[in-house]
Amino acid sequence: MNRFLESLGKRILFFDGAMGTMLQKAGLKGGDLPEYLNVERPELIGSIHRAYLAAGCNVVTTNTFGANRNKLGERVSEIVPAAVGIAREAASEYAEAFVAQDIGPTGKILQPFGDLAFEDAYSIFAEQVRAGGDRADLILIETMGDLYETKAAVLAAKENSSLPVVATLIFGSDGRLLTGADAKTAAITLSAFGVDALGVNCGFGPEAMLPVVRQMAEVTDLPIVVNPNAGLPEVVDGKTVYTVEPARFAANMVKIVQAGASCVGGCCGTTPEHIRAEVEACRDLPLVKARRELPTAVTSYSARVEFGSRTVIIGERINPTGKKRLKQALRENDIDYIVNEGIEQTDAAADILDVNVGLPEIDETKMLSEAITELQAVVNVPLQPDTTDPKALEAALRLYNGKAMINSVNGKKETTDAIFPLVQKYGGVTVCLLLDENGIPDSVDGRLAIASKIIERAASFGIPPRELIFDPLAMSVSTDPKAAKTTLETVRRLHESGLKTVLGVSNVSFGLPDRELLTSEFFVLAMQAGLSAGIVNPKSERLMNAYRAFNALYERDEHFNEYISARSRSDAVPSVNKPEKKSLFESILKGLAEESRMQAKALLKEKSAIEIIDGDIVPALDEAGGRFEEKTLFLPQLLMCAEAAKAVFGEIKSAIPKGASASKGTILICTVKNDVHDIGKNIVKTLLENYGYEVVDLGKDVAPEEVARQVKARGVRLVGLSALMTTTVPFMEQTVKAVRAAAPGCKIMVGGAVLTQKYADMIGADSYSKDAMGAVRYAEEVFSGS
Amino acid sequence: MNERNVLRYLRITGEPDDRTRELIGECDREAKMKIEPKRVYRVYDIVREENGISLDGVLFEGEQIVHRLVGFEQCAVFAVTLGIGADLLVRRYTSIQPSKAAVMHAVLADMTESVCDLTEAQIRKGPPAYETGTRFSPGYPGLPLDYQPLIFRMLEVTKRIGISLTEQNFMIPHKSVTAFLGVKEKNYEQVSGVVGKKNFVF
Repeated sequence: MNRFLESLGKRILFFDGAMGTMLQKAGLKGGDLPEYLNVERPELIGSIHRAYLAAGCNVVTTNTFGANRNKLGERVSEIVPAAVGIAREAASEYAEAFVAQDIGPTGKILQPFGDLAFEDAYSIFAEQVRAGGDRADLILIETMGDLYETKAAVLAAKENSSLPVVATLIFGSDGRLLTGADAKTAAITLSAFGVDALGVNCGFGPEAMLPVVRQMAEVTDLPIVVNPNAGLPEVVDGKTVYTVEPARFAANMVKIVQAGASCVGGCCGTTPEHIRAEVEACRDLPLVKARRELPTAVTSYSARVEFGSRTVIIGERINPTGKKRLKQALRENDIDYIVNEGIEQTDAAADILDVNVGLPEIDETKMLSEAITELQAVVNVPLQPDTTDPKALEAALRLYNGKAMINSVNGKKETTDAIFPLVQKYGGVTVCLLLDENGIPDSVDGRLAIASKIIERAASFGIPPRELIFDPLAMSVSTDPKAAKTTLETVRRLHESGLKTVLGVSNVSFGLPDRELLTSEFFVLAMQAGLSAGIVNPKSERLMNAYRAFNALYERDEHFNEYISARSRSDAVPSVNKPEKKSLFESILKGLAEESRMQAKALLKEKSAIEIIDGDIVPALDEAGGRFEEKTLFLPQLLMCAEAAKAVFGEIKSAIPKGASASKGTILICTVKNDVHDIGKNIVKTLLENYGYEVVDLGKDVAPEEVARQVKARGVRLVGLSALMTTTVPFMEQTVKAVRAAAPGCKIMVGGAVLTQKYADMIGADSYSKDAMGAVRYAEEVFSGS
Repeated sequence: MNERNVLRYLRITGEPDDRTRELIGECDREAKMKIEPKRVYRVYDIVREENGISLDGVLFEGEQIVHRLVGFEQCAVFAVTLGIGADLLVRRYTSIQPSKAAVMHAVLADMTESVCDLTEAQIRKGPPAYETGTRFSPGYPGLPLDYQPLIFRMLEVTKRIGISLTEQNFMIPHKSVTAFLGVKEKNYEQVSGVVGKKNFVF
């Protein structure tokens, strides 16, 4: 066993203090990169390690905080081994000293917020880890402000080294990470990533860290590492200084240990004197063991859901079973539809979203990954990938930004053998269906026996029962009148033995009229039996009313807040006032999406879809476009009109006869390389789509070669390029050249804040559009000849 | 929120229609719940160099920056951001409701400006109290984006308030601003109306 792991959590271990502060004292200037000193002045770095070891610390941290490709370029493989060598040599003089290979953040923000792809972050960290060559005793990932970046670093460390991994996070003064998670959410998530210890460093001093440490100790049984600054930074004479003296620092660190930390050290502003005082004050303190029962919880990048007394609502709507429109969206790779379904469910109070995108004819691995990536960019509730394909599940869990809910395993050995290793690696709370090779047992005892079997198998993978949630399977009462009673009794028995439960509630009513009524009543009975979570339709008003009423009656809704606010919302909905009857044309023109959709639905009884398109949608869009050009109607209204048109399309789409494609042609659009602004491009896309064009959107920051390749491969006749910043305009020129070379017949239109007709002419574009309508007009011109 | 500015960003001339106005109100309320404005600033002595100015030993090359700081002995440098929540809001509506995304964009741009204004006010208040010039930012004509990494290092922007730079020196979160502001310490007389030590030139 690794020596560090033998000591970790068994006794108090002391980490070292600041490296940067010591280097600044030795004359390092603000702008210099300290990592170069590992090769330029190894004796200086070594002397700092020795000073900390002499002060009594057990873990020295290599001078490699920023030793990544972003900052050092090609020199990572030279500087990291040098730094590890220096620390190793210093530590060799002490019997109980360990070397931590230090890894700090990349300095970039990950997608979807930033420009760094998750797998690129992984590769930056992997290079750093490999450069260390397993010559340290542990890998310390620190000062992380984003859980997603931390996940990339932890995976890189675990997959490219056999060393233990410790990760510590930096919180803001509001007690949250930059990306929004509080200490509990962060600790639950990090624990799921499979680190050996976790904690907090930098940001503020030990006093302010105390609440963070206490919260972490409530939700994890992993050793907690705490490396605070010597107080908050102050600027004196233009220099950053930290003002907490060693004695006060040490006194506060005693409280940190008493709150549950077992590894303590220091960060910015701390010196060997701080560490010496800390060692003296904390050396003989008893270790505080985690006593509290740990919660069953899942997380997103910023929020957590704990399975406690109150039943958790898992939105079931992203599942193609029996949903024609979603099947169509999946076949057409219409991610927006799926995202919208997710947003509507979270707006309707879903706590977690189930994500099932399996259809026989699509690539499920790709689709599930894409859906998870897009959904987690716009909703902040935890997600529940739902698939029977372990490959699709692994891809989704890898990309998921948090601790997921996993749907599902069952009593068949093949499922647990395939899925539990993934749970072990990526973390997650697993839904366990109580069926096995012999089907679903008729009896309660039969189902409980399967639960025991799954618990045993999970234990062999190191997965405790609190990470499992059991689904006793709601079956239709129409085929088996006893089905509901058996299921409810199983829920009750599982609940009484302290296990968590979940049900796909609506199955119970299959085959009977007014399903919502039966489903809602059954849900209430299941909650009464102790159900931890229901996979339901949160958009069902009846079901959610029953849910809120139950919570109000069962002491699960403090001060009846949710019940009252839901009631006042439903009161506030105005009785559908029917003023003058508008035509569909008028509704679209006014941008009334819901009204337009309803009208179109009714109109389909008298008119064909094509007649609606030609008679209402297109004229309304033309009218709005014309008024926009006259400046009597403005951008938000133009877009609202487009949204209304889109809603109508969605409603009548299935009525458009096959083969009678409504598409007038395919247009490829993107923002050029190095430009990350996409609002203009998105507006153009919205309008073009509504004018009946199929738009292939390559996104932002797209390389010229990629545009050219796609144009050629898809044989498109028109490309739209957007650029907002002057600095990226040269890439537009390159893109024009690349497209010309690859597809001489393809027309190119350009637009964006900094472009002018003159510049468009200069770079050889076919058309310059001053606004989104300009792009539509040019498209009409290009495709009118066809 | 300054509605006039929001309308200007949306290129709306004259009165907006009711639905646009409603949308602006909606975006304003939602944005207020989601933004987490943060700022960091510091005041530096200006050292004039042959090819630019330097602040705390960091050289900003160029004529524009020299020109814009004429008459000032000191320069405040600041960075502000509305936080990642603001980006998330725009992103959320981009695919499902582009009209709201566009309005949200404008509302957030206006809020970013407000945070800059508040930061300026804070700088003016001191202590010491300052008179200030007009703020200007990297990306303006003659003020290259290459200034960004220098500012980020001087103010520890990434660590303090969580803005990061892309390879092209764009800021993320998008709703962020860095700026320079010429400042002059208000002398004692102006502050208190009494002739103080600072006017004792002879």
